[in-house]
Amino acid sequence: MDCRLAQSLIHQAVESRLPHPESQQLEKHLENCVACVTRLTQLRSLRANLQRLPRYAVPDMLTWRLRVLASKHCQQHSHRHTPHWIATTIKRLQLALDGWQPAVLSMAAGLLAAFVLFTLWAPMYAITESRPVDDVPLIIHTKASLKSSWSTTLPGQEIIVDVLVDHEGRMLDYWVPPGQNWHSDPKLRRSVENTLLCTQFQPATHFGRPALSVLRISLHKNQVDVRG
Amino acid sequence: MGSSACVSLDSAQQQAWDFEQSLIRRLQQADPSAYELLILHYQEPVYNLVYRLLDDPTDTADVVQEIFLKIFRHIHNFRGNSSLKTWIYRIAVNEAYNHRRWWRRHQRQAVPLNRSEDDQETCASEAIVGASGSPFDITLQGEHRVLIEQALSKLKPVYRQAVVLRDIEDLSYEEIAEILGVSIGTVKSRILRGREALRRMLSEALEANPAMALTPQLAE
Repeated sequence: MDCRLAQSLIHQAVESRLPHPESQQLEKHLENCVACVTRLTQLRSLRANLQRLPRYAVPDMLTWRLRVLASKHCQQHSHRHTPHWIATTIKRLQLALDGWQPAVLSMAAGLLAAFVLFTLWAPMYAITESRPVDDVPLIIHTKASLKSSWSTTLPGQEIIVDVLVDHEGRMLDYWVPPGQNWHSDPKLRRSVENTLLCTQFQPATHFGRPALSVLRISLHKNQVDVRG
Repeated sequence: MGSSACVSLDSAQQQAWDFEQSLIRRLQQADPSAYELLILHYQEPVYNLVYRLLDDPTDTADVVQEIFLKIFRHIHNFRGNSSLKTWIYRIAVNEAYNHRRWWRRHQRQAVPLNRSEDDQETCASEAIVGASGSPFDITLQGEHRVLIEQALSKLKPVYRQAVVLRDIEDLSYEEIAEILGVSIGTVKSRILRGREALRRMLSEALEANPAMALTPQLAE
């Protein structure tokens, strides 16, 4: 065996991985070659010293940083299948709750006390409903109606007139509906007006209160009727 | 004896596999305790790996944070084509390589006057493994360590990765091949060349200072 071949086996010999036949050949070569013996010795020493190099302890700060990273990543991944807006909302709620955490207990106690007091005091201040016996339910709207009239003599034709009745049942104004022509006769018109002035009406009501309204009446001979 | 050793090894491998599968399943279900277990189990090996791969060890904490961030982000896409350990180591190696390229590109000249809190904690928490013997021996061991680490930092990145994964992290050739995405033959070649380069650098340094000669020690 020459030095070139021996040197290729030496590195395996350093790790004690040389098969037996090659190991014997190498040993035989080493008996006569100082250079190869030196090389083998140096390489073994080198490997031993490399294996004896110190193991450096991981700085505490680095371990803490790795744990923080792991925590963040773990949290992110646990929400991976949650829609982003839900994860964001949950995160915001958690932050809000964290901020409110010191006050939660006192707030809960206050709410509970308020509830208990309310349930105890509420019956004392309960409003009892009393219905009067003669209470008549109000009708939302009533029309004006004829109350009384002065008996007067009018011509035989039927006279239709729209009358504006105030909240005291008095006539404020009147209109002649279309199709009527009695107002062209001054004497007849004066007679109708006198009759209307002496007629009393029951005012219309709106939610129980007297209100203005228009009433259509007919005057015929000595009768006054409400038409609508 | 041999067969029982093989059985116990298979049993240990099976336990490791079951642990990984359980951890992966719980991580993908966003189980907080699984994240905690992942950090406890892998932060130290990842930290030490990155420490050895970077040119500037003061960036180790930031790079490790980026690595775990990527792990958390992509664990849900992990399909189990490789073991969890090799997957994590692959991310660590790539991230350290990318950071190194970024650092080289920006050529940071400034040296901070005050080291960061993490760096101070690192200095405070360093443990020298195997420090025993007289004060002289302890001092010598410390100087050896510095010498070796300096030589390691001068190695080409591809060789440094292979040597660190094999001789410091004690991964198998198959695992290293999976992590680096190369064949086993390439892994062996890189380890061989990396060790040779280290041996040459250390020999030159020790020639300059014979008092610091490495005492021959048997590899474990």
